[in-house]
Amino acid sequence: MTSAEWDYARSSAGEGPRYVTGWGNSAVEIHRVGTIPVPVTMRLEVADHPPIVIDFARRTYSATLPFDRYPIHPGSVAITAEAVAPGSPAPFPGIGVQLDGLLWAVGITAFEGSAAPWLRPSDRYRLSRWPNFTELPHTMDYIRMTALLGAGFLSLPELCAGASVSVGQAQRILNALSLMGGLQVVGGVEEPTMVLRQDAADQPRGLFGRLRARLGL
Amino acid sequence: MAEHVILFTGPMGAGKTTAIEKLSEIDVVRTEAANTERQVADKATTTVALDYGEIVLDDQDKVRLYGIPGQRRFDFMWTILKERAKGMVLLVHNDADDPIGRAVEYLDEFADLYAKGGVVIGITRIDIAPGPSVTDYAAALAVAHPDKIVPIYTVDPRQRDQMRTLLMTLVANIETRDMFVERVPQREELVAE
Ligand SMILES: Nc1nc2c(ncn2[C@@H]2O[C@H](COP(=O)(O)OP(=O)(O)OP(=O)(O)O)[C@@H](O)[C@H]2O)c(=O)[nH]1
Ligand SMILES: [Mg+2]
Repeated sequence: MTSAEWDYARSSAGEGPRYVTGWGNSAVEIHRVGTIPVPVTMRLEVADHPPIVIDFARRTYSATLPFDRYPIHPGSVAITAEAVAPGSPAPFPGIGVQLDGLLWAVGITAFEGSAAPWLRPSDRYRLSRWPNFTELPHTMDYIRMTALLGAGFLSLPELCAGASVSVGQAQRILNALSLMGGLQVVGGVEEPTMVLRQDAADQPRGLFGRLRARLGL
Repeated sequence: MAEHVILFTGPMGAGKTTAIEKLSEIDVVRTEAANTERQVADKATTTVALDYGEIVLDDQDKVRLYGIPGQRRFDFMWTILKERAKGMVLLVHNDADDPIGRAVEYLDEFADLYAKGGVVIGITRIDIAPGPSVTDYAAALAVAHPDKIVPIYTVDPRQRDQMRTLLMTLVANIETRDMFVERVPQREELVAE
């Protein structure tokens, strides 16, 4: 990387805290900073709560409180992001925990079933890596939607139809997976070569549905 | 009567018997014998032929869970079961010698199932060996099979809910593949060409 590129990356990480309202705006900052191609650390501070510190290079974070103990609608989140030299030590003691856990929680809740602003209605999505679901709170609908996204490029309405879920549910998982960097996104109106069958959702007698009922999941 | 055969395979000591016992609704048929290879896996017994368990769907249908000991996977019986299988759970213990190499090797041997989307990977014993990570496995598999995204989870086979997540992921993956068809071009596009 040239020094000009480094300076650019550094300045786009931002200096001094930015103050934003709610997890939605925080998610926008996390998403923006997460795409900067140099190691960045980020600190999110909600009044009267311990800070959340992210190490994007190692994809880990540290927080002494679980995410669900933070306010659902924080009035003000102070966000500081800083580009650091490659190989810098982690910005917190210990090894931290997997960043996916935080990004999943933020992505699922932040926009309350509306689209994250970095996604467009004409986009199609395909899974680029499976989330480690044994480590993430999930429902069977999320597993089914993820499997569908792993099989082909889908738009939001196609995902809803294929998995028999509401727009809000489908949008939540798209927000979360894209925040985690787990989705390939293609814009435009061109249809993919593989498409959902018309009768795709008519699978109440499918093995997934039957096992789910049997196991009470 | 539909047949739903799911295989569990992986190296010695990966947790196959434990996993099937957690999922099965019947007493698991086990074929344990004294372990003469304590240097490979330090435990008293090992599966010599197979494990068998079931989840009953209704009076007609059941999901059959078969555990294949790693050293038996080339036997003729397994060749037959492989053809009948809908999917496979590959368990690899993270404290094995070269666990990523073992995962790649097993996937190559079950390439047909893998190509159909019928494989999930469970990395076990991460409480004993925390690395390599899921990302490390995914990176190695992407080199071997760049066009496939295989679910890779960390699991403790002693935890029933985790094994159910793994099994449901496998079934979801198999079923959703069949929900896609090749798109038929619209008339205007044909004219345009
Ligand atoms: N600590 C820990 N122990 C585990 C885990 N998974 C399995 N085990 C233990 O590892 C041992 C081996 O498990 P088995 O189920 O016998 O493994 P297997 O794959 O059937 O082994 P073979 O039949 O010999 O091929 C058992 O004592 C399990 O309880 C895990 O995630 N953590
Ligand atoms: Mg065994």
